[in-house]
Amino acid sequence: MHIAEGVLDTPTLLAAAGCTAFGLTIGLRRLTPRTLPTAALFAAVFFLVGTIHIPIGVGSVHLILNGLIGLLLGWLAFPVIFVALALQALLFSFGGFTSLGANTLLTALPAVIAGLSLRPLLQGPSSRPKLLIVGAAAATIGILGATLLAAMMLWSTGGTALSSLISLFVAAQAPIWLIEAIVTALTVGMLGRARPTAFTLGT
Amino acid sequence: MSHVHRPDGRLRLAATLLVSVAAALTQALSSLYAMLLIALLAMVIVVTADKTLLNNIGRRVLRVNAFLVIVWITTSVNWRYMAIDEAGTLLATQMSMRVNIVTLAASLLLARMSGVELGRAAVGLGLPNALGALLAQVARQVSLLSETKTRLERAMRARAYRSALGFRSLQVSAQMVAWLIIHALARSERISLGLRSRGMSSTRWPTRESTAWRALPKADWSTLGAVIVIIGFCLLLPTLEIQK
Repeated sequence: MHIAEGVLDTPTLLAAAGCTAFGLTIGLRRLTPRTLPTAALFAAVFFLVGTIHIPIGVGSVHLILNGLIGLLLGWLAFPVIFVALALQALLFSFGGFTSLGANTLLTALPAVIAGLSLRPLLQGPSSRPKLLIVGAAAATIGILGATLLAAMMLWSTGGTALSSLISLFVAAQAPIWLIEAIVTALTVGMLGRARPTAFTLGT
Repeated sequence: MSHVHRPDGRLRLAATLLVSVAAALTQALSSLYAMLLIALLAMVIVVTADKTLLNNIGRRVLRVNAFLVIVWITTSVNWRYMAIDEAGTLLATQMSMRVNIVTLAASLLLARMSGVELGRAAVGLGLPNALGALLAQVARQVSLLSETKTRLERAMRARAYRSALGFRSLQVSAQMVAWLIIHALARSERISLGLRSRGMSSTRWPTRESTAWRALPKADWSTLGAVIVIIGFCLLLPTLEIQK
């Protein structure tokens, strides 16, 4: 989910950049030279899952998995998503550098909320149904939160002039949410069995 | 392989950010038209000199304009009354020009810049060392993990797997994500063990010092200077029109 460069107005961009700077400050406190390789590898995974496409009709959607990143990394989601989006802006022109703050905020804030609210449920042994429910809930928080934030940013830029675009954008997220919920639930189910300690970084 | 000298990464990144900020700040259509015209002219000159860039820039411009088609359809027409919405048309025009200016500027100024160079340039412009180090490491890990992903995809194709909308495809995608994460965790443990066994201290950020600002060649500074002059001229255009 990217908002292209040049779409948002200056006050919205500045407000989003300020919020992202706050999130980055907290996230960077949890990043040490020792945890750097793990954080970098998770950022690379986040970057690569964006290239996994699921066909829908004549088009396709790509995975975002911000809820899963939040479950795995907590506050570290802010720096990890920031650098992954910076690389996507450089290599593919997805998003851009002035909209980097806005795109980081709308992806990372729901991720952190998902992480803070659901990670305590994954400490200790978990049954498969519990893992699946936590995964689906993380994806729901991730996608619905990102959609809400993106809609708010577009509204603050264009108001009623962008209402049709916002409605279309929100409607387009419904299949993405469903796909993300299933994929995240299954991924958390597999990780919970194979690597239960995966959900402890950045605490 | 291109042997064209490219200015210092910090100056290229600063010039890109200046263009982006100027395009985001201005509301005047004449300024945006002038910026777009100059960006298109610069693209023609650069692509003529280095034809290998055409494919990359063309793909980026096409992608952002596909998004702009949706913006025009949803904002410039009032579908309830089947009439042109003037405020929406103005907004769509401004957005279209901004998006194209910034995409062209970033594609031209940051052409062939790697993730590692971007990290170093960003740190040189004031980004925290930790983020620069993370950016450089991610750029390296992306290339390594993408090989793993390609291997997995090749193995899936060999087993006659074809992606389609259905539970099986979602299950396979989840398996791939889980496998990539497990692979990443195992790899990070190996890296940590390797660093410790070589006695490397893990209390410093692995970043490299940039060249001193004063040591940069004048030709590099002239790129940033030219961008500043062009932006200044474009932003002053509306006031020149009023005086006429």
